[in-house]
Amino acid sequence: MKYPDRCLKGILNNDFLSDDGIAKAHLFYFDESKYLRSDGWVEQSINWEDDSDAIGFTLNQRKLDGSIKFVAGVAVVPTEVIDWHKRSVSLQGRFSYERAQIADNKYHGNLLLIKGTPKLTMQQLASSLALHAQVEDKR
Amino acid sequence: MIDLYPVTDSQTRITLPTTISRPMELMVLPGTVSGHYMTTSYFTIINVYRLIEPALKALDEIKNPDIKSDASSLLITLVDIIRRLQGLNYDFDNLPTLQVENIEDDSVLIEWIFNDFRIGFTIEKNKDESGWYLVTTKRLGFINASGYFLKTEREKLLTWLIIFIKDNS
Repeated sequence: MKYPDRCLKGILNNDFLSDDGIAKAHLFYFDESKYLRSDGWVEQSINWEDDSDAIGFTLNQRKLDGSIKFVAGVAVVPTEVIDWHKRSVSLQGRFSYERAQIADNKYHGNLLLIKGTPKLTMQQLASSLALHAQVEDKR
Repeated sequence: MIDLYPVTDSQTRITLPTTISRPMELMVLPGTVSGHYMTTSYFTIINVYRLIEPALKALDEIKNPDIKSDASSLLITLVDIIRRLQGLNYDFDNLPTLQVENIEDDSVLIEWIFNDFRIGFTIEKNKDESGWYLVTTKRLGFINASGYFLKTEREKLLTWLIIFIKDNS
């Protein structure tokens, strides 16, 4: 399956950004208590930047009450970085990604971390993704 | 050995945590009260404490006394190492402040964010799980290092990390 050069992570609020507008590590945390699947992967929602509309689409995603979901913008991460982690010694077989289109979101996908990954490893991965993320808000 | 009592802009006196034993040139700055002696080194030392002030303040929110104590101790150790390296003429001007990134009931993440790398310290309720990491961009070789504190000599590790910062920030 082909993947675009970048993936997009919506930012729910400013708690996930530093005062300088930089993504904080916990934007990319994997929460095993909430998002563990029956196949043993812990998923984290992203969108794939398949076309030039993907960022605008992500920024305009809505909550059930109609309000904007990602009020603090979107973090853009190069797929190259994700691939590098996927191949790294500490995460080989533990970290992956997928497409997971849903009814109202053709861009949707997930970053995946295997159940039982040490918390320090998860935080290290999250920090690296945040380090490489470019925060955008073109609203 | 000289005890220094700097005077801030607000005229508040702050006692430095330790005395300074290395040789230094003393001069009296205009506008200081009561004729206190200051040195140019004084300003650098205060800048170092600036690095951890926001983090120490954020740690006030932590209810678990063990985590609060461990995190504070780590920050103070970092500053002590930086001060010692300053004594060897390492320059640490313009470093960003450390940030407490995430506070949960049973853990805290302290992160130091630079353009091309990040250093993190995780303090956990279970001390066996407290650790550190260093992640870098491609420009610095995609370094991805980490470890648990119990298995390392903390001061040696922190010194290594600070010298890495000095060389790459």
